[in-house]
Amino acid sequence: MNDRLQDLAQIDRLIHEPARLMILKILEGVEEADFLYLLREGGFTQGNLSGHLARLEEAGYVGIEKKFKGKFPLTVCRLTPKGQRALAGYSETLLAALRPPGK
Amino acid sequence: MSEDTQNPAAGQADSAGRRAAAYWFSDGLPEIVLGLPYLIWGAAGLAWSLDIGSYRAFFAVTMVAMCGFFAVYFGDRKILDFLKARVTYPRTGYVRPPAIPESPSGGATGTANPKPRDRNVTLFRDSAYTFFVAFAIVLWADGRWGVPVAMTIATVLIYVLSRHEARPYSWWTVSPIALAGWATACLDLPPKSRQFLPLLIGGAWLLARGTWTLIRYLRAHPRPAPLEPLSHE
Repeated sequence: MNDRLQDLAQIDRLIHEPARLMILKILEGVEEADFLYLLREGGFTQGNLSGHLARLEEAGYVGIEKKFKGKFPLTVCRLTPKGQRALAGYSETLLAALRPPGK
Repeated sequence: MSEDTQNPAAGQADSAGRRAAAYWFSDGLPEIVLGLPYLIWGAAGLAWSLDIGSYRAFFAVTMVAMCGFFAVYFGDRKILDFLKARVTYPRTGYVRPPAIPESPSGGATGTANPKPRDRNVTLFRDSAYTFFVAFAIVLWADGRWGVPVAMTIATVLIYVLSRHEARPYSWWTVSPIALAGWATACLDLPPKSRQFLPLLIGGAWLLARGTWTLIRYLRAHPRPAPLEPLSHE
């Protein structure tokens, strides 16, 4: 039996939700992205993405900032250091638990 | 490159960062902005060499084109951001790819699979330089067959060097550069005119590629209605 299996109980459930995990993985690979880009990349609906981003921002995993590029307003999101640490911890826990015994 | 205009970030889809870098080129604007100075420069040189315009006019246009090239070379991000804020961001959104190539030792998640070395849009400068070197090769080439040979070398250079970039070019995409070079062998031009042909052909090729990509992009992505403000409830 994998002795890390029980660690799954302590996994970060905020990240464990597929849509939020997708948002964090997209933001992890870029410096920043706006709402519309996330909407298209993740195939979310507006309300869905808005709700998930609000939860991630509340947890301090994602920073949201209103910006202007020229006259065009952007809602720019970026992964915070806290979000990076949480995502790293989540990945480590999940991978360790799913690793075949003895490896 | 797979030019999937339905999803502008598609193609080279091996990581979020690489997709974001590929997205930078999805609207054709970088090629248009890079191609214009080359085209103006080449056209001005050709006109001057054929005694269509005075040397003073050629010098003035060359200076403007060179300033354009250096503006694109050093200020690519600002110029393209200005254009993209009016064309791309309202349609398909804004993303800023990673500032530096990612470390092969692993990403922020520290997962077992290290992230691939993502290419960054600031490497657009490298692309600009590659194009410049490729098109300038012919300055050392001479005679009727100098341009075709140099343009073939330029074609191979662009194909090979773009393979691992965010904007890779396929063989059939770059082949018009070489073909146009060989076509110039049929033209009866003085040697000094031939020296400007690569810049002219290169600029026209970049502009044509960019315009075609832009038209496809605009057709696939009509300007949407503004998004509702982000709810924090």
